[in-house]
Amino acid sequence: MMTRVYLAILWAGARIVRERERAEWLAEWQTELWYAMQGGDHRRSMSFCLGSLRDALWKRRNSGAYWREGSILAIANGPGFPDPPAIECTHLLESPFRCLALLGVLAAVAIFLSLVVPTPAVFPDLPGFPTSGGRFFVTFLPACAVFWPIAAFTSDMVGGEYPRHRNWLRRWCFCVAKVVLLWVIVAFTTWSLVRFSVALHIVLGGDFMAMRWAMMDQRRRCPTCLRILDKPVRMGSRSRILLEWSGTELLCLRGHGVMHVPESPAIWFTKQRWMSLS
Amino acid sequence: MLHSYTFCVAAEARLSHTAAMILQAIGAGYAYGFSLMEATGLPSGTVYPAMRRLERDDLIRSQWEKQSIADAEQRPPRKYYRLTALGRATLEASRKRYPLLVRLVPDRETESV
Repeated sequence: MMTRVYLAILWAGARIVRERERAEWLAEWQTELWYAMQGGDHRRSMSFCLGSLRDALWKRRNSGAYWREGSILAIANGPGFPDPPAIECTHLLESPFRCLALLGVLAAVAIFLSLVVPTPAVFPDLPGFPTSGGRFFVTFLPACAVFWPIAAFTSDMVGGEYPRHRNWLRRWCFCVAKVVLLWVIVAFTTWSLVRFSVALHIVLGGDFMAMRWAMMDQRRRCPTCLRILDKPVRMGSRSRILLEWSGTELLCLRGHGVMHVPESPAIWFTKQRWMSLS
Repeated sequence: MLHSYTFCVAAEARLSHTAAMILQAIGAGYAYGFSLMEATGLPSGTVYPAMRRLERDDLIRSQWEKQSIADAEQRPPRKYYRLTALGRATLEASRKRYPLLVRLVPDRETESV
C-alpha cells in the first residue's frame, strides 16, 4: 500500500518535470526509492519521496533554454555543436496559463466593481434602459449575439490552415475559456459604467474590440503549446508576388513549427498557414 | 588555460557548503544519489537539486550503470556520478575553504579501515 503512495508521489513529481526529461528523472527516482525502502523505515521513505517534488521543481525551473526542447534545432544537440544563445519570449501573455490567469483576475475585478458601485434609481441619460442586473444582461446578450460574429468574421480567426492536430481540443477549450472570461469582463464592466452615464454604444464598441483581440490572439498562438509565436521575419517582396511568396514568418520558440502569414492573399496562398516541425 | 583557471575560481567562489559536501562525497567514492544522502546526512530534497546544479556547472558527470551488472546483483541499475577535471580542481579549492570537509565526509576506504 505504502509503495503505491510513494510511486504516486514520484508520478506527481514527474508531471512537474518537462516531458523530454521526464522518463530519465522518474527512472532515477524509482531506482533510488528501491534503496530508500531497503531499511523498512516508512517515515524515511516518505521523506525521501517528498524530496523528489523539490527536485522536480528545480528541474522544471532550470531545464535549459527553449532551443533544447523542440525538434527544429535537434541537430544542434549533437556533440561539438556550439550552443546557440537562449531565445526568450518577452511577451507578457506568452503562456496560455498566464493569459487565462490575467483575464480571470480582470473578470474578478469587474465583478467586484459591479457589486460595489451603487445602482441609481434611474439612468437620466439612458431613458428606458433597464436598471436591474437581470434585465440588463437580457439586453446585453442579444447585443453580443450581433457584435461577436461580426468580430469573429472580420478577424478571420478560422481562416488559417492548420493540419489536423492532436491538441485541437485543448486549443478550442483555451479559445472558449478566453471568450467566456472576456464576456464576463465586458458584461460586468458595462454594467458598472452605464451607472455613470457612459454612452452604451462606446461600451459595446469595447465589447467588439475585446472579441476581436481574442480572435487575433488565438491566431498568433502555436497550435501545439498555445504559446505566443514570436521572432517575426519578413520574407519576400510585395512587388514580386507572382514570382515568390511574400509575408511574415512567426516562430514557435519551443520548436513546434512556423506560421506563414501572407502579406497579401494570393490564389495559392490566401490564409495563414501552419507548418508543423514536431 | 587562463579561461579554465578563471572558471574554476568562479565556480569555487559560488560553491555553498552543502554543494562542497556533496562534491566531497562524490570524490570520496559515494557515487549514486542514495549513498550520497547517507554519507552527508542531507535530505533528498537538498541532495538531488544540488547534484543537478553541480552537473549543470560541469563539476560532475552522470552515467547509468549497465543493466547486466545490476541484474547480476539483483537490484535496479544505478545512476553513477563522478567528478570531472574541473570538479576535482573545485573540490581541492573547496577543501581549503572548508577545512572540516574531509572530516565530515571521509573517504570510503578510510571509513572501512
